[in-house]
Parts: sequence; C-alpha cells; structure tokens
Amino acid sequence: MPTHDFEKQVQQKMDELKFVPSEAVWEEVAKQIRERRDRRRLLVWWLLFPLLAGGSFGIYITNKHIASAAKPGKPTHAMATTITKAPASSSPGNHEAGGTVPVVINQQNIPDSNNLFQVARNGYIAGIRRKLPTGDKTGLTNETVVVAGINLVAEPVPTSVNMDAMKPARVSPLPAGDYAFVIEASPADPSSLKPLLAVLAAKADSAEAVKKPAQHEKKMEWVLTAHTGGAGISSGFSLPRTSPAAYDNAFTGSSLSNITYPGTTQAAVRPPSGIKPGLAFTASLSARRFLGGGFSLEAGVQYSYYSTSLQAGTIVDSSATVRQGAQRVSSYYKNSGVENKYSNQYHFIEVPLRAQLQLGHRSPFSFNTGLSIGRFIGSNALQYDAPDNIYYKDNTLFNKTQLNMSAGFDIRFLQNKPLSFEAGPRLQYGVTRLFKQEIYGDRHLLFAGLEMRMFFGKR
Amino acid sequence: MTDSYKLIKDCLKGKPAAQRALYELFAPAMLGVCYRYTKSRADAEDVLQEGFIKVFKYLHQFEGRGEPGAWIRRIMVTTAINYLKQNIRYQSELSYPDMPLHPVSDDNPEVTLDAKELAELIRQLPPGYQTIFNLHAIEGYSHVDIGKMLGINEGTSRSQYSRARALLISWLEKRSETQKKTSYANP
Repeated sequence: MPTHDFEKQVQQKMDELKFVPSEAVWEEVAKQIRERRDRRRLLVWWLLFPLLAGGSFGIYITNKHIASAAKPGKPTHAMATTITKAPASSSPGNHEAGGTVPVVINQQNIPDSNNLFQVARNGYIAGIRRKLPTGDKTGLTNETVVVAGINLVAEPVPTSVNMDAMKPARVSPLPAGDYAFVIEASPADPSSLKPLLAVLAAKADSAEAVKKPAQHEKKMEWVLTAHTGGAGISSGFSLPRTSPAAYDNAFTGSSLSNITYPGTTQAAVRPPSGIKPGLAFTASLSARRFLGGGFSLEAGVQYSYYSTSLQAGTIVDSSATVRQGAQRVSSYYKNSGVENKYSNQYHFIEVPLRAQLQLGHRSPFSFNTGLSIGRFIGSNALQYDAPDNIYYKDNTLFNKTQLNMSAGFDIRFLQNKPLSFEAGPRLQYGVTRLFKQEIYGDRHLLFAGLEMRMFFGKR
Repeated sequence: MTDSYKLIKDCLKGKPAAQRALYELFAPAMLGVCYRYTKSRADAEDVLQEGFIKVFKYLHQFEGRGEPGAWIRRIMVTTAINYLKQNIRYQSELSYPDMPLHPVSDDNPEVTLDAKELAELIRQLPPGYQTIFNLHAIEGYSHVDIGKMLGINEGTSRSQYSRARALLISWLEKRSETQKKTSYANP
C-alpha cells in the first residue's frame, strides 16, 4: 500500500460526509444578510441625504437668483440704502421754473414710507441712477432716469403724480453695482414730488428690507436643547430587539464564565431575557455659528440618559464574593424565570457637533445632521453570563467612548423674536458598539424621539 | 460547477433566491466539515451558520479563481478553528502540550467504515488531536501552516498528529476485530 493511503481513504470518506442542516441555520443566515443590506442602505442614505438636501437647496437658490435676474422690475442686486441729497441743487427757489434739477432723495425726508411698502412690493420704481465710485462729490452720474416712461432729464416732471400711471415704469433688470434713487424735478413745486419720493423711498426700504437679513444676520446664538424619547439596543441598524434577547450572542467564550456562583446550577438553562426599549433624554447647551446660505454649525456639551429594561429574575446576595473577571461579584440576578423588571440605565457626557440647513430663506423648516463623541460615565446595567445563566453588573464591558450619528427635522417657532424655539423628530444611532464585541457581538445604542430647542442671543 | 459561479454572480447582485440556492448547494457538505471539528451537531450548525454569514459578507472577495466549494470550505475551517478557540467548552480541552515526537506508524489499514462512522471516531479524539488530524489528514494543511493557525510549534503539530493517527488506527483495528468476532459468532 502506498504511503498516506490511510489519509487518502479518510479524505475520500470524509468528502462523502454530508448532513442536511436544520432550517433555523438558513433563517439566521438570511436574517443577517438582510440586516447587513439594510445597514448598508441606511448608511448610504445617511451620507447622501445631507448632500441631496444641500444640493436641492443650492439649486433652489440658484434658480431663484436666475429668475429674479430675468424678471422685470426686480433688480438683481440690493440697492443702496442711503440716498443722499445732491448739493446745491435741491433747494427750491434756486432754479429756473420749468428747468430740471437733480433731487437726490434722502431717506429721512420721506414721510410714511412704511405705508408705501405695498407699492414698492408691486415692483414700481420711479428712477434709478448708478452711484459713482466713492470720492465723487455728487455721488451721481447723469445716466438715464425713468419715471413712468418719462425721461426726467429731458422733460419736466408732472406737477402731480398718479400712482397708477406709474405702473408701466418697471425698471429692466439692472447691471451689477450699487444704486441710488435719484429724481430730477422742477423746483417750482417740490411738494408735487412727494408721491414720487415716497415711492422711491418705499423702494429703498424694500431694497433695505431685502438686504437687511444679510447685513444684520445673526452670527451666533446660544441653544438649549432637550431630547426625549425611547432608547433601545439594536443589532446593527435593525430596530431594538425584544426577542430574542440582545444578550443572545453572549458567550461564545470568554473568561467571564469561568466561575461558579453560589446558588447557581448548570442544569436549568433558560434563554436570557429580551431587552426592551426604555425612556431616554438628553440636555445640552451649545453655541451655534451661522455660516451663511442657511447653514450653521453647532458644538456644545450634553448629558445623556438612556435606559432599557429586562426581566432579571431572582436576586441573589451572597456573603461570599467570587472572582468575576477583574472584579469580585457578590450580588447578582439568577435567570430563574421569575418576572422581576429591571431597568438598565446608561449615563454619558457627550460633545455634540451639529450641522443644520435651513430649507429656504425665512423658512421655519430645517434639516440637521450631527455627530457626537460621548464618554460613558456610569451605568447600573446588568450583563449576562450564559454558562451560569445569571445577570450581574460589570461596567468594564462597556466601550467607554461612543460615537453617535444623528439626523432630524425641525420647525422653528417665533422665528423673528429674540427668544425662539425649534421642535422636531430626531434619530440617533451609536456607531460604536455599546459593549465590547466579544461579549454580545454587534450591539448599538439607538435613540428615537423629539427634540426641543430654545435659542437666545444677540441679533 | 458553472452553476456555482453563476450563483455567486447573482448573490453579488443581491438576489435572495440565488443566496438560498448557493446555501443549499454547499450547506450539506459544509455541515459535514463542521461536524468533524466539533463535538455536537448543535455546535456544528453554529459554526455552519457563522461560516455562511462570513461567506456572504466576503463573497465580493471571491475572485473566481479556484473552486467556490474550496473557498467556502476554507472559510468553514477557519470559522471552526475560531469557534473552538472561543468556546469555553472546548477551551479547557483544547491544549497542545509539547510532547516528544511520536513516530508516525506505517500502518495503513483499510478503512471499511462508512463516512458517518468514521466521522464519529474522529470526533471521539481529544479536541487537540481531533483538530490537528482534521487539518492535516483531511484538509491537507502542512504542519507549518497548522502551527501558524493554532499558534503552536510545528513539532507539536507533528507529534499530536502522529498520536491522533495511531489512536484512530488502533480504534479502527479494534472495531475490525470486534466485527470479525461477531461474524464468527453469528455465521
């Protein structure tokens, strides 16, 4: 017989060895495949959503800009808010009757300009001139001025102005630059200019109103945030599991089980309890910085409380301590089937970083996404020891540093008031495993709930 | 085996039916592999489950070189070794003490047992012997490779293997003698 013939025979025999596995094996494999696929999809959406939201917002803004440039009567650029009176030519009586003199409108001269906002909003404007560069004494050029289709440089101004008659005087889109409102009028009856001046002032106000948010936009504000909702232990991105337990992956082997506890037996093996979602809340103080275009960034400090619950069984207090990993345990819960609800509580201090995008100028709606780095500060949570079928406390099994991803929508109330509020749904997922992987596998902290935010700070 | 390549392509496209078909194609043989490394059917199914989860997770890394069956089998063997290392029930028994080299016997008895009976005998070997025997005699790993996989010396692997082999052969011979006696007693 050739050498290794024995091995060859064994190999051949073993190649024939086949068994049909139970259906449960495939079910678990299929479940894991599904969860991994869902996790991938969610992650892709998580990453894509801010990009899509930002991109859509950018397209919206660009389109709005182009539309406004193409629309008659809508200047593409905010107009100068200061309208000065031209020197030596605006005083009545100094000029010949029937002649034209440039009258530069000083905004302070215009009574009731606020009442004429509606007129301005309709897009009527009397005259516009390009402002000369700084240093020019008049501040004006002699470019075309149009009021109701009348060239005021060439023709005398009417002594009375009919507002309706001015409607055709929409100004074509203007080239880029700063503008000042200018009217050239007869000094014989300055009062007749009032309606025109008012219209111009209104337009100036309107321009200012457009410009105001940019000029006086808040740079920074303080935010108090509170979240409340439910927390659970998820397997990957899947929803919190109640059955089978989050503990069910425990102990494919670890030194934790290598002890004998007083009062425990190896005989009765009961599956571990399911872990149910519990109450969670957070509170944070943060500073928010506006970056323009509706974007803002925020950072702060947050305290987070999460809880879950389980049926812990019978409590055992033993006078004899036993070695449990790096610590000694004298008190534990025996998984006896006795219904004894226990609340696992987890406490973290976190540093949340948040990006927020306002969905449209002056829109109360916003989308936010964020990351937070958390530090585990304490827990009364029970850990499960499969071989001994007991629950015990051991905070060394936690991953002490947690990275969370979050996203949500908000609606802002009292938007233009000094104290305003925001509220909306929020979802948070613990990217880092809550426990060390070798203990329970892929277990993450998940939070879903509502957030309430209060803003205060100088405008 | 063209079917299995097609199945893998479809699995990579995320088709559930193809995933199920691939599993059904290889699961029975792979459970046989897992069965040889473990002491119970439940443990073998646990290893099979973990192994197939890895197969689907890393399927994109299968580049079409070689047989899919051999690739899946390597994953199963690695999973089984890790399972033995991690599982407390095996940890205590899974030791590889350095022993003086046991000469490999030249015995090459004829194996008359069927596959299942032979597998049962292999599973009766102490876990250390069982693992090394499986890896060397059946999977064909060299002692150097086995040493790396298990974190032991090459010599230890050789020694354990020769002892496992001798033990298995002695059991086979005993069974053979018993069968002969039984056949004489009941002609």
